[in-house]
Amino acid sequence: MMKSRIQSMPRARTAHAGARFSSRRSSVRARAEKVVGIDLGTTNSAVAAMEGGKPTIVTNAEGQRTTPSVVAYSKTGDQLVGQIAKRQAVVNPENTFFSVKRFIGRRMEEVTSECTQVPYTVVRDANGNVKIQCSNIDKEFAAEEISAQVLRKLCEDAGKFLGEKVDKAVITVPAYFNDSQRQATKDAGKIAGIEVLRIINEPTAASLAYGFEKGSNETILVFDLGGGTFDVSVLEVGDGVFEVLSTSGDTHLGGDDFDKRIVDFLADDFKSAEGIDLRTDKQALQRLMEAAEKTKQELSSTTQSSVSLPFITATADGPKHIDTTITRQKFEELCADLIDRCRIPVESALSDAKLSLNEINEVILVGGSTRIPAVQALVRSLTGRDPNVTVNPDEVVALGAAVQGGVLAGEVSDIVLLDVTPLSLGLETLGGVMTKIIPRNTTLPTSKSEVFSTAADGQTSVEINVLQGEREMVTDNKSLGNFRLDGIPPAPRGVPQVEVKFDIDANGILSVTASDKGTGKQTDIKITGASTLSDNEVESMMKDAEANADADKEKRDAIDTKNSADSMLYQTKKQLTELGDKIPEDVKSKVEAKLGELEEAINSDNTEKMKAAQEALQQEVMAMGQSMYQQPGADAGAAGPGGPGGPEGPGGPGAGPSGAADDVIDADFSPSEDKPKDK
Amino acid sequence: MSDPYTLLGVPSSASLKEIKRAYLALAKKYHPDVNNGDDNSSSSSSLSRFKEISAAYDVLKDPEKRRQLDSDLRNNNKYPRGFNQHGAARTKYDPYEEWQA
Repeated sequence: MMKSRIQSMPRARTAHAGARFSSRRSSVRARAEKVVGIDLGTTNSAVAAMEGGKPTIVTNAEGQRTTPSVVAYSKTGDQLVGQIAKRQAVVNPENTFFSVKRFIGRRMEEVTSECTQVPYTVVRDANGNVKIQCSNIDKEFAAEEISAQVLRKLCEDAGKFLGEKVDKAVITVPAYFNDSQRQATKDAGKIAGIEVLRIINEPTAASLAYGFEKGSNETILVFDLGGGTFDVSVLEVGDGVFEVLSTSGDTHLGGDDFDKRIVDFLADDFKSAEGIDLRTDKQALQRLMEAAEKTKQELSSTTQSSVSLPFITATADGPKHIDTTITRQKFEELCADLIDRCRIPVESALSDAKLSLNEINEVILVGGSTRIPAVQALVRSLTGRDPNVTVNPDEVVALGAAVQGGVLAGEVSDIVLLDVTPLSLGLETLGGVMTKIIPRNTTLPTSKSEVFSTAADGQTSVEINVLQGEREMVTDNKSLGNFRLDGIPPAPRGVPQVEVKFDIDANGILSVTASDKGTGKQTDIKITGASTLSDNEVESMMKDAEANADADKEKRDAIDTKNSADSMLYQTKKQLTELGDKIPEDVKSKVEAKLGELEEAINSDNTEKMKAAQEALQQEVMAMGQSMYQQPGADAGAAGPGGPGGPEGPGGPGAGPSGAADDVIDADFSPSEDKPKDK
Repeated sequence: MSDPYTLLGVPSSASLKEIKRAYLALAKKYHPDVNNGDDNSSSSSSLSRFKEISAAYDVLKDPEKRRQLDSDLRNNNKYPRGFNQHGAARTKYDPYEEWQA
């Protein structure tokens, strides 16, 4: 019996078995462990969890309902994730990584056009896979690692919001993601220290959120145009069963492409006027991209938008600016072919589902790009009906993922999701053609096997190339990996029987087993050329990420300590001046001594010393407050502290005992807060 | 090993609607998601059961495949299409292999 699996498979299987084991154990105590749903988007991500039986969006640490999928490294090597990273992109374009979802699980030759659209440097590694260069910390990242950093922040923030540790998640991917992209997304979760219970398709998740708690039987079409990918799924929803009938899409089409058209329009315009190509200047390109995104968004609600980019570049004549207006009509003209491309997947999904348009009950729009009026008009013209706008296109995917998380955690019952594989799977056979073993739109999980033989007399090994795609010729499809079967006993061609078994789990991830039916002999099989990371790479990236997270925590702790030490130093000094000679000399000198120690600790940047010195100072300040009360006339304290040097009598400032510092802060802050309002 | 009708528990005269209702009811029972809490052996057997009923439904929901199946069942023929050489490496093509496995 010869057994082989595609490189990534043993990992997938262990992870799955682990998930099952732990959920079994936890069911003994209570099924309370929170499983969050994560929409890991190209431009923005969102997290949701089941709260009181309903999926609810979890806000991030900044109080936002979505988090930009952006990671940056500052000049000092600090890691920034989310809004804070997005905000500094203009001044740090080469070390700010966005839209990495376009690179995850891809080989370099698949993303040639994407590479030129981003201001950061994308390189090919030794295996032909994509790596992202970070000059500020002199490191090459896999796309999985960047996504892992986003996932880590999302889960940490969700943990704070929910008040419990979050380390189990359902993560969504575009339905049209292939095996490598799914595996890579799962690996990203692992690197982030998250147990990914399930990978589910974004349009399917959207349908779960839509149909959850809905009793009626409906046939729906989900039109999901996100930041980087486009998916269409046709589903039947009813009696708690969500059956995906067909799915189709385009993994190279999304909001980014619309932005790119505006960027090109502005850059071409500028080039013909000034003779400078702004796209070669990374900082200018980043500013153009941000302006383009803003313009695109504005044009969804207004009919024209002004673009103003002062000092975009400079020539010998002086600074140059962009100041122009783009109308909605111009935008639609620029993007006409992109919008038209949305047509094909809708048509093929319907034909695969063997349905006509009038059999569709609802059209659900998902993804920020469906806010573009021209896209909505296309949907209307394609389907002949107004799309359903009751769901929030930015949040519905995360909400649906949370529902699936609830199903897996046992919190939600009576809901079953029957999803399908978006692309056919098969192998290369003689003549460079693809022989399909599992056709697209097959319900998951599934397994299928076929018997193959040798092509030549006396052939002792077979090279098996596992493929995914719809095209006839091997070269037009995605190769998921090669494996080699050795040790077949010499025999005339066609006699040896090799059974190849394909198995797709509920995540849509494939594993392949091969066995020689004739001999049952064990054979060594090596797999090469997969565009995912090896087990060892994932393991070492996971350790790296954990070490970095610890280092980050220490760094944050150090900054927090320094800030509080600084403020304590300031407050105490202020108090000393305010209270002046009302403090007994012996108390004052003690406080001053501790103050000196704290100042020294701050200057030496020693976190531990700062903490100790703060503690010591706190004691003396309390003693100081107490001594104030023991003085005659302390009870005559007036409201509000007197200005330095201006107290009328002993005990004038109403500084309370231990709350002294707090009172001072309050009185001091409120006027300064009011000031900006007055202006 | 049983034929798709037996697997879904429907008569060979069943309408597409009846077949679908039977399949969805069984899918709800055997889908691995709803069997997560069970012990390992039963959930792995429900997994293979789920694959069987899905494959059976795949045949019965397609009028062309169903016609082929019906004629094969009448003739009691296991490998109706015989040897089908897809390139040189492929030995045979058996459309019902999934539910024989």
